[in-house]
Amino acid sequence: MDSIKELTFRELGTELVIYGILMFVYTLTVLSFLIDYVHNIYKADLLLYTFLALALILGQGVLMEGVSTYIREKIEER
Amino acid sequence: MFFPISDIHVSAIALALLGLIVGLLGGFFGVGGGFLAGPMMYVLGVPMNFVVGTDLAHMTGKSVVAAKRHRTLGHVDMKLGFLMVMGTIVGIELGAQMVELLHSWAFLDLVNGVFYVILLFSISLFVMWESRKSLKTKSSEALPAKEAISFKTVSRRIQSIKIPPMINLPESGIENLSLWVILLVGVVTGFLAGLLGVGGGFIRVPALVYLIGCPTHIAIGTDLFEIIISASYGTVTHSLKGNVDIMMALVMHTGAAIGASIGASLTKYLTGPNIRFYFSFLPLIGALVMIYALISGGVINF
Repeated sequence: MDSIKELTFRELGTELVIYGILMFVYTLTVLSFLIDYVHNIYKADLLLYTFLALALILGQGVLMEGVSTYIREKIEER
Repeated sequence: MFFPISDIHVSAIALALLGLIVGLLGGFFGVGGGFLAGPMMYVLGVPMNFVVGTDLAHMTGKSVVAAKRHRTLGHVDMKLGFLMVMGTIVGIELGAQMVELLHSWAFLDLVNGVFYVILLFSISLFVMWESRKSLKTKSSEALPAKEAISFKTVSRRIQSIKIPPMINLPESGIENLSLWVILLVGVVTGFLAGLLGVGGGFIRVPALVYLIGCPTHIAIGTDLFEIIISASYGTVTHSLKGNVDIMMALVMHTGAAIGASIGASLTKYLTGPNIRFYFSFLPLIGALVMIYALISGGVINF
């Protein structure tokens, strides 16, 4: 294994730990807070729920990509 | 954690870990990972009617992360992705209609299952043979090409079909390709995916490499881009039937996002033939899962 790959794997490990802690907090706070609200929409209006579901998953996708890129850039800067 | 939409308790950590594994596979190989996530969600206790829709929803978010990372690496041909997805969606619908037509046929599940196993074994063995051949050629003749392919005859013939309109795909290094070829490949791979009830990444990536003539890295990134659109479409149709637990998908996605990001970044360390060689084991796993389902008498829909 060469030094570049060794460094990269260490960086990936650090990224994984930081990201894991952030996601644990995110799941406990934001998602737990949303769960009842989203469930009520699911029971009341499936069409609205569908658009909300799509917006949430796409939004979270963009957000997570931004967060992981930011973490990676910060690790690489050090 | 309690998920009121699907009315079950499932460990959020287990879901995030499952997402992480499937995300790694998705980011690295350009597949949705439904062949693994579906059965595993079922094992975790998710009701079958929520498995497919919820998996598709999490796949949508995961593909956003992986495709964006691949785009940063210059691995996404947006033009090809947009054109092919039109054929793919038509194909998925045709495949689903075919299943409806054959629904009354008593042996549908068995025949579908056997066809699925043969198809996956064929893809796996072919990609394994071709990638090993490319790896050997590369090491013995020291080919500089990062994207050595030992099986270019079909893609060359396909690229020589001159039915207008002709499309130029500079990002994939393809000068002229008939639009109808792109749409047809999309329809055929979509049809197989719809018929067999799978996302189709492990059919589409080889099709992009061997039929269209895309470099492996571009095929992976472009397929992920296509999955964003096709999985969004699938999420909407399943959600309208009430079969998507979006909170569960969001929890899975927290793990999948980091897996997809790492998986996509890892592709830059491997050559095309190497990635294709590792990829060749994926359809094999899918085939083994299906064989298990057929032998045990159960039907796994994913």
